[in-house]
Amino acid sequence: MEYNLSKHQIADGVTAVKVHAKGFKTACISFSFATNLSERNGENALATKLLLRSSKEYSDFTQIARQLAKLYGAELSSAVMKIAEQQVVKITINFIGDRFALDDESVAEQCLSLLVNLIFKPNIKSGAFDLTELESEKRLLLEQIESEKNDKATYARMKLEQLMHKDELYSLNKFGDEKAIKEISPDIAARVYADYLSRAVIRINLVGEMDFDGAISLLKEHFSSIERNPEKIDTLFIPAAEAEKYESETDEVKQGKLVIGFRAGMKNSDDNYYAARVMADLFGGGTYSKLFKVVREKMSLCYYCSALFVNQKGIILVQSGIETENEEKAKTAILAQLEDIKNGNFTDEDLNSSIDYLTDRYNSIGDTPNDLDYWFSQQIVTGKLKTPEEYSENIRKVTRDDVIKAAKRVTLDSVFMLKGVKEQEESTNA
Amino acid sequence: MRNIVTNEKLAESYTYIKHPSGLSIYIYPKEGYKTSYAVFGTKYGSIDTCFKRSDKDEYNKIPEGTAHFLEHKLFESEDLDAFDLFAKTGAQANAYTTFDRTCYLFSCSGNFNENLDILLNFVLSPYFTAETVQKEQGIIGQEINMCKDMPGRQSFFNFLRAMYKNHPVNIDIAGTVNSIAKITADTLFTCYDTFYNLNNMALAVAGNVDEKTVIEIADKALKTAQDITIDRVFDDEPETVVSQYIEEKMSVSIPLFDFGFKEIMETPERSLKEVIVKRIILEVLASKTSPLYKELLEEGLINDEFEAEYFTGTGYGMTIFSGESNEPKKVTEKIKEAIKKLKESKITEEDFERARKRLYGEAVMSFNNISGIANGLLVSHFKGDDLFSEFNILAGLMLEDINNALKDTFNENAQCLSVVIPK
Repeated sequence: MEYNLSKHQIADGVTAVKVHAKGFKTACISFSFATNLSERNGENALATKLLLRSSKEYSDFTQIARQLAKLYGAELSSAVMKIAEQQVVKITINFIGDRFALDDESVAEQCLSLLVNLIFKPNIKSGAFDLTELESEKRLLLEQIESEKNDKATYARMKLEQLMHKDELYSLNKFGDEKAIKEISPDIAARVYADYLSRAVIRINLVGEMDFDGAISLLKEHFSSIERNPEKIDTLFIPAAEAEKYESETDEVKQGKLVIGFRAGMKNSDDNYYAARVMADLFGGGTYSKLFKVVREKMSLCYYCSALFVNQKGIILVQSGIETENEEKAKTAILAQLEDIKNGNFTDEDLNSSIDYLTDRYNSIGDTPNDLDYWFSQQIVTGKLKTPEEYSENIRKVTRDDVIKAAKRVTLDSVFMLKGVKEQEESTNA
Repeated sequence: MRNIVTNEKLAESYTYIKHPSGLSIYIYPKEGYKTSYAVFGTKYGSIDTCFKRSDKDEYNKIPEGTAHFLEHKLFESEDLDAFDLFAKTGAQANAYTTFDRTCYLFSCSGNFNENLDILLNFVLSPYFTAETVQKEQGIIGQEINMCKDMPGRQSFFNFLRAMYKNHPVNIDIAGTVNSIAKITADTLFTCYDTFYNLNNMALAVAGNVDEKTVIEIADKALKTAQDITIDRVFDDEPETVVSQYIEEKMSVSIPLFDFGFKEIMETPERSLKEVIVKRIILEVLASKTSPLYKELLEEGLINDEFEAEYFTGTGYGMTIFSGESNEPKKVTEKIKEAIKKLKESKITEEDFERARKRLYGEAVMSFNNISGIANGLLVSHFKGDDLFSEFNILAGLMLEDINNALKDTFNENAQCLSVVIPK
């Protein structure tokens, strides 16, 4: 879908990104808040969760949910992400285009007004959030943290991050520390939120069709009453690994999880980006990749084995689900694939497949409002505004030599293995 | 046969063509989209374990997990696999198997014609040998083991096992390591020859596509299939459940649960209207707008994972409440109290209208997404509906329809709770 893109300064460190696209059935508005990862991750996560619980106008979440249902099932959600060494809290509302409403009222206008109401008029009375709601959201946040640990693949990745980035902010849990969360009181949460609104770097995406001018002036009006003091956000890059680190754990799981962390040889998120992107994809992206073709298909070692390139931190993570006894075999095979790329042992055909695949993905982003929203909110940490089309063009320019050079920069940093134990019998009791 | 189906409110339309080969083809162009999406599927899923072709005498009983196994094998030919070819065109290809269908798909922003050609040709050229079958047993074995570590999935499939005695919805889509070991190349050919008959299949394309090109490619790739029908056999299913409670211990921190009520199926399948009515009931009873949700949340009994859904297919239908809770049994008590209250007080006009608006909005939203549209076309085709009928049904619903259906929903004599508890 064709779209017009522009950036608007709302306040110090607050930017609105207007993505005007006609023809979608829906539109969306999102607020992303970025701060450097810190001990305060838990406080930020909790305070922002409270925003969706109630506000001055909506006395409890049932009222919010009913308003959303009336707005044709508008979807309100919040997410906490780790992007580079920042904690990014994102609050999004998706809704149907005004032309599909069954009455004359603008859905977009009402959704923006709901969102602004929740963010700028939180349910803070006498300097404190509601105690019952706070305790309830605390429980939900703690369960969310626990639940992430229940997903063994996520758990193994978190353990690898803690091992690999032991002395870096990147090792911090994006939801915060469980003990610290338990200690937050209603008045602390209220102070935290006031401070957060002042110090977070904020990006607001307006995607689809709506009264953009009206939205931007509404946002300016609301931010004018806030004293802004935005943080300088920054990320530490470690281009090369030192000695290889290893850790393992045993759990009662059927399938073992192997995670291998590499440093990609980058000094910042743009450093050699396009070559590294293609290299990582050729290594462990699509079905033409080395990890898929050799480790999964040829050696039948795993159901999944893929490489995740995190350019915002300059690392590559290989994640794989394997039989525990195949750990060494799988690790050796994975490292051998990387060596192959360093030595130029890959076909032009596979290289072209990778480039085609990546450009195809970039070109698809403009076809849904949510992908566009996601794309532009990720750039909050760099402050840039680059289109997927621009990435697509640059990916096309990557050569075989660029890929080999990018691979040669890669160094093995850490390995984490979650081992399964053989069970005696199935424990299903009816 | 060619038929154009239009929805004025959405300002969209699609074309249905019954191709001379027997295949049903749906073409849904989306103006302004750069991407295209195609899905080619058969009405054959994990529940089709006993069947007969109309031109044959004998019934076939096949191992659990065969439909899914076949899905893995069909993207392969003697010298290469489909992913190699799709890789060369830059397309993103995949396949999936559900309880009642198997689908092969790709999305791309270029080379659509070539991709469609690859898709049709691969699915229509089966190649299985003893060796390739054996290799796949290893890969699928890994997939099955991976799934056994997923607590939510385990809770759900345990629930189905405890709910259904005979209906094959009670088996895992991928089968078991033991059942797939029984699959041979012959098994695969038998299933292929039955279910991959073009009369039992459909193709849907959406996005940056045009009718003429699609038909040209189809004309070349498709050969007229023998016009057969398939007799699927399901054993009689008792009204009651196998067991009211099932639990499994896994490595989790918070227990997970699936709780629900089995329904008697007077007809083989629920109509779309019946499904929408059930969804409205569940929306009023258990969505975030409901008093039940508020009570459960405030008493610390559920978290954000809680949801209610209506789950149905050929020969089965049930309401399911799922989530995470330290006290799953208490959650079920609260749900049952709320059901009792709602049945006594009945659903109000206000609650009904709010739920209807939400469902209308969800339906509109689903037309943003070309993969959703194409897969939706297949699902509605196999069910015998058109993709826009939801709008008309929603507009025509009366509060009375909902309250009448409510009386017979949630049969206390056929309830079941499945939990996964920490080791």
